[in-house]
Amino acid sequence: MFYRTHLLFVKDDNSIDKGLQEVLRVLNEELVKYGLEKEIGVLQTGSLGYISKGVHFVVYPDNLLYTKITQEDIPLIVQEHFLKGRPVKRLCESAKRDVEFAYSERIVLKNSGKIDPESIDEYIAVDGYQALGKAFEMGREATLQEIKKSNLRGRGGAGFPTGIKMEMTANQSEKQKYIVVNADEGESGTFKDRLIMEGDPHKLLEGMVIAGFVVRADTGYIYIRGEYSLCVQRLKIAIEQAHNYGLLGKNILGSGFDFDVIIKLGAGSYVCGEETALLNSLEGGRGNPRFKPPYPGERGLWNKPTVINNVETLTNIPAIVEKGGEWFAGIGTPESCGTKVYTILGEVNNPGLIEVPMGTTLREIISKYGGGLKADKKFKAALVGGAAGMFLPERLLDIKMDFENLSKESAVLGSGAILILSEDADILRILTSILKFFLHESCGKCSACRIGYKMLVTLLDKIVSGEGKSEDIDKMVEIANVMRVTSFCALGQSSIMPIGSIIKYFKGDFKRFTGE
Amino acid sequence: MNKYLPEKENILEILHLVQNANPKNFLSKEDLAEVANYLHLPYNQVYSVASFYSMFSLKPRGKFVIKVCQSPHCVVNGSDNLLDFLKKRVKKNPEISLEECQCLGVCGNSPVVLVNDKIYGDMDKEKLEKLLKNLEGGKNVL
Repeated sequence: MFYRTHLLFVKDDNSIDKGLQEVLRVLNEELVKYGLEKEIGVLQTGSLGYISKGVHFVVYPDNLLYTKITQEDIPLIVQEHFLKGRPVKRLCESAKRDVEFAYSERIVLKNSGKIDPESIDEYIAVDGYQALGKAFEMGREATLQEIKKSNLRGRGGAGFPTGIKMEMTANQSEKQKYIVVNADEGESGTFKDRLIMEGDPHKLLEGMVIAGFVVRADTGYIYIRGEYSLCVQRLKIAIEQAHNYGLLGKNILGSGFDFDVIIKLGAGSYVCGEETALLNSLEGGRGNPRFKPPYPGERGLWNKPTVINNVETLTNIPAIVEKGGEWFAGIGTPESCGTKVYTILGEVNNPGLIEVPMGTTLREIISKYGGGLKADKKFKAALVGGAAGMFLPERLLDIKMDFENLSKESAVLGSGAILILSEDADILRILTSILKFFLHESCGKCSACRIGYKMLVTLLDKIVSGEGKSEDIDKMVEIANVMRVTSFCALGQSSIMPIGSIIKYFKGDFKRFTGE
Repeated sequence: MNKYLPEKENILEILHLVQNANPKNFLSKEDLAEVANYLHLPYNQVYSVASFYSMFSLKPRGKFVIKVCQSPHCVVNGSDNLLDFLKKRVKKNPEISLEECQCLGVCGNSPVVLVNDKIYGDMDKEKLEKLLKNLEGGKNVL
């Protein structure tokens, strides 16, 4: 059917919470009332990256963005805009610039908000699954070389080169190998993987099949948070469609290569985001981390060679195969190539999901993409990298956000979460919530982490209640340092990050309580 | 349960299924024994897995489980106060259980509260009060 106008509604948990279903119901009624249902097509897409714009939709070909729409607004929009051709300016947000901005320089999020994530045809229409065909044509070795050339580094936090990881597994002589996708996104303030999968689930599947082809794996697991129901639903649809099109299953595209994808639900455990804990959980056990080495690339799931990658890492693969490693390596900085997806939150005007080239400064991210601080408040700190990240002060605003520049300040990209705090923020209240979180999520396997967090929370409570002394602050640092050296996995090792950065840059916040 | 093959790797899915089928919304000793029997595993192994993950409860819960996000971004927006408020407010009702949870990824609408699988954003005390009234009347709506 030919529609003169398309309306693309963003369907995610934010918009559902704000009444998306009711808006769509009223819209449908209104369109039928005016006989417009054959002229105006209504589609549902994934996130554009906005998280505080309520129910919002884009009008094509006008390229207008309506935001914070309620069901009461719909009759007016239908009458004025769709019937008479006069956009309701009051409900449009300087739309053109916004829409263009949302679509700029995207690799991972290229299709999110543009296509219907529940339709494989739309993904194929935007050149989806072409990279897979190209990989089969080029062969395993050449595909691997492109990925290595791209210098893509793992987006889960550690930044290990993806090509080298795949090569390690590809070189194993074992017959049975696995691909595992780490979609156990639990880091506070992080929802990038969820929106990537909700917006473009086929891209992840394509990345998985290519990775499986390169290393000769025949099964891929997506380990996803139990709470992500919309995401699971869309992935299941995508898997079924890919099966029907012969893009999953036996003899994919006539290449003789077999690959299947299985979704596994987590059950609420932060530590399962650690790759070896995730493997234990996949096998049906407690999510305790394993000792490394051997690394999963040699002995992973059921002791077979396994490539574990973050969602964002794998969704970069199709574009790399399609456009070549050199193209990808030309984006970003020499050591951190490509783009990075961030979730920017806190006291900024435009919180949400953004994808920018590696090496973009924190200042630019806040002012250009985050829209600056709310009510022109003064910047105090940015918590970069999630709960296990660092509080960065104003003087580091011009830091380039990439692996090597952040590590110079001993900070990390981590999960890509950026929480912006203004002058009125209470940093110690946030630290309390971070430490309580880790205390709750500690798996209990090693004493350093299990007991360490308990001691840290107790000490911080004492300080915040005004009974602490400056020795207590020193003690916290000492404990955190011991945990860094002696904990089994990153969950315990990283307590020093938030604590250390507060001591280094915001000691005044502590001293306020100890009265010195 | 026989939707899943009796293999250890399916234990989390099976436990989810069994918990959802339990009218008290938890995993009883009998439930765990049944799962152990189905998977040919010792009881203690099933218990050790069930007790590890926070989405599984080993104690009876109400028909509605309210989870309040306690991650930094929600705390900045006052979810710690909401939790204190709820702790006092829901004590007496056996049909409503209260839990803390971590980031649900709906940070745009923080502070966020989850009731069973329904997300409620931008919560404050007035909205919570209204939600609780509806829950007490048996409806998970705001």
